[in-house]
Amino acid sequence: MDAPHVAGVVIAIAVAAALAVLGAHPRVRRWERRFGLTVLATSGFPFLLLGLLFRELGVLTADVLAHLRPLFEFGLGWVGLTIGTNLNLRRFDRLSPSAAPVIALTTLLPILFTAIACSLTLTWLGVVPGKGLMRDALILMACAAVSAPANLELLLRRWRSSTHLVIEMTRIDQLAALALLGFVAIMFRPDRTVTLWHLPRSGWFLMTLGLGALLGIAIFLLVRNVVDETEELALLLGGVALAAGMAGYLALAVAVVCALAGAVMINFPLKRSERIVRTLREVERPIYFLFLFVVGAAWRPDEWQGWVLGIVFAASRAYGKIVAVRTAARIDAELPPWKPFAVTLLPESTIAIVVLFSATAIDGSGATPAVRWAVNAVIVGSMLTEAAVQAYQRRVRLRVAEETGA
Amino acid sequence: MITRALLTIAGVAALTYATRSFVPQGATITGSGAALAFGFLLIVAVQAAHLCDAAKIPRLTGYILVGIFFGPDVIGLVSRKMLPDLALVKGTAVGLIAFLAGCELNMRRLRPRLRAIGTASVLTMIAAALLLFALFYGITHILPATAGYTTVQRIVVALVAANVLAAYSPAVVVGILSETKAAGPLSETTLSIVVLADLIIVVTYALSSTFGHIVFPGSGGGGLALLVPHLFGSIAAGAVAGGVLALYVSRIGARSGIFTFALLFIAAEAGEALHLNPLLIGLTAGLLLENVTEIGGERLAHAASGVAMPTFAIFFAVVGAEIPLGAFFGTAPFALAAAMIRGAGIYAGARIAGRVAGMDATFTRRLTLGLLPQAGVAIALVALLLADFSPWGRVVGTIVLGTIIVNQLIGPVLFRNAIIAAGESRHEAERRRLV
Repeated sequence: MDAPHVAGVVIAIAVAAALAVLGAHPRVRRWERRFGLTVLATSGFPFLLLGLLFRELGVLTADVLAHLRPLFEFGLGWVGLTIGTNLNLRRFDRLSPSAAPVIALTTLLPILFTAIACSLTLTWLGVVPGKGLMRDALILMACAAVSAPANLELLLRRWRSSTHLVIEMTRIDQLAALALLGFVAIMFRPDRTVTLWHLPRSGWFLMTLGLGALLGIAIFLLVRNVVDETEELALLLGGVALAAGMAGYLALAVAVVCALAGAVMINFPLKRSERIVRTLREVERPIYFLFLFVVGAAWRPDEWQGWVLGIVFAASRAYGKIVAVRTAARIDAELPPWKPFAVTLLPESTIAIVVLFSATAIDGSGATPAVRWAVNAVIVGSMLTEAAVQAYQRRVRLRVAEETGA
Repeated sequence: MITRALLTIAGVAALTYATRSFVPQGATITGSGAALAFGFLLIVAVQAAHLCDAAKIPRLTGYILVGIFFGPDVIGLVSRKMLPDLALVKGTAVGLIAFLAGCELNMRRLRPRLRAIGTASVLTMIAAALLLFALFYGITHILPATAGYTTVQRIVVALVAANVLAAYSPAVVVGILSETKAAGPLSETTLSIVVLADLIIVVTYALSSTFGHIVFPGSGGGGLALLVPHLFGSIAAGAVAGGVLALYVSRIGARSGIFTFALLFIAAEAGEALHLNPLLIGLTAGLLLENVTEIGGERLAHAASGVAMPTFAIFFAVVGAEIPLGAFFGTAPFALAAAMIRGAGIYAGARIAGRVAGMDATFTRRLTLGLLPQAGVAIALVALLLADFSPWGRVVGTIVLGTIIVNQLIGPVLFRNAIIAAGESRHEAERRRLV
């Protein structure tokens, strides 16, 4: 390695270490909570920039990414399992019957609006059917689905009873995004000639479900009777790695299979389920930083097409959420007014990063222009949405302050 | 517990076998293959630990046996192509093991024993190296690859081989101490000696390989030219890592175990690119935290202890899977002879050191057992030997590797027994109390 490259590596590592420290700093976490910001908007954004910087310095090369692939697979598995543990069916049972159409509307309408608007934009940009249009549109649809439960401040102020519904809505959103990701993995299988198993797409669908369920049972059986916390961590690490490795080996969506495994595991009678979920969440945040970092390396802010797609993505997604919320208000009169309700559902969840990461790093298609534009679209879209949400929140805060004389 | 462990191993092995049938035999999928191997080895190693507890043998030996059994040369569930991808885990594991060792070494506490530690480190290494040198000098007359060499060339071959085999194993010692929850004079003295001796070995190997390159011109490697950046660069990187950790713990504190692991991962990855040694980086960081900062290594070692067990399990399982059984059986007689000679040399050196430093005979005997295991550093040096010296490096390197395998399998068992006999194992004490 030559001297400038070595210097680049050293600088990059120093910056990464400093950022990691800053990202985990309690003050940053407090800001996030206080202002209702998402991880992507605050401590996550520097990691995107860092990925960009690493690429420019020539540190994050294709070889380095290939070398780190086992870690990426493991990270996807870990995040997938963590998302899966959100799907505790007992909690969904507590929702009112009117919640189902509301959740369906707020999840599906943004997906539909984004699909139409982004497909048209991609076609205008030259991505035609048969050349990745379907795949890229599905990736953007999956990214459009997920909302971050970060801006609950507005709801908590006057409509405290709706927060439970909002939290469950964002969880169902995640499920929809993962379902789309799983669909992408099933529809766009790798070259059949190099593998020994030849199944129809429906077979791979059943395989995804079956493997997820089987691994969920396996992880449940592994951690069920473990008393020692260290052994529990070892088996959890091993279980996630095995699940991620198996899913990846069979070219299935790692995050989807692991999410299914997590959902199955958490719905079994597990004595220390809270401790397991806490362990999973402890590591989740650093994994997101890692994904943001790699996605940052695929980010090309200099490509105007990405900015166009980003604006279209943000606008269509926001419009979809607003239409969904307004329609939902007609179904359930007890829902909060559409403005604060829509603002609460607008911020982009970090799950979008998982979806993007799967699209850019794992299947090696990060180099195609359309995927790069999609990366830009989600990053730009998230930032625009976040800016709009924060502006609205500030206005509300000022109005409340005026009303109360504070 | 045994039935459950065996059933789990069978179940996980069946799942892995079924998954591997997706691609033709011999092929693997980059990334997924390594993740699969990692998960499989970790789960099976944890189950093997229960079997080892029942059989009263070290868990560490169980991890190595798991690697050998499911590795490429026996069952083959972990294929040879998967192993290079697992280097990612190995580098971090070496760094973490060294970090934990550094955190345990408090110089103020060790000061009364420093003379004994220094004397024992030097004398055991010299005695073992001298006897091994004589053995390998003799072997060079028998081996076809070296039979025609001049006396000077034979001396170089024997010197390099003896140098590699004089290495100890901080990884095994830390592994056994962690497993037995040991604390006491024997634990501390053994750990100090293996750490100090391995630092010396890294330097002496650079010197002996430089000598080798002079006698065998045209062979590869960098020798002394690489030593300065390698050694001092690693120590500097370790000091920086220690500083960052100290800053993190004092200013943030939350998730310090994960942060330590992440930092050591970055250090291992960058170290590979910058030719730095993860062992030295981790060790320096640990020593710095324990002896220079106010934080103390114990706090971070405790925070990182959660990941220590899985790290040991996967590290030694991968080490086991990497053992080339075919080559070992081909050189087994030489390897066994070298292992016995090495053991005798260490014992003789320890006895002399015991007399000089005033250690009692029982303590000296137990100390010898702690110096027998070999793993990380020795294997790394063998890799250099195999790569740097052609054609004799391959032949002599195989014998050296065979010797390391013998020490790897026998050493942990003997050291664990020594720790229990010395009454320093809290794990054993707890077990007896429960019984």
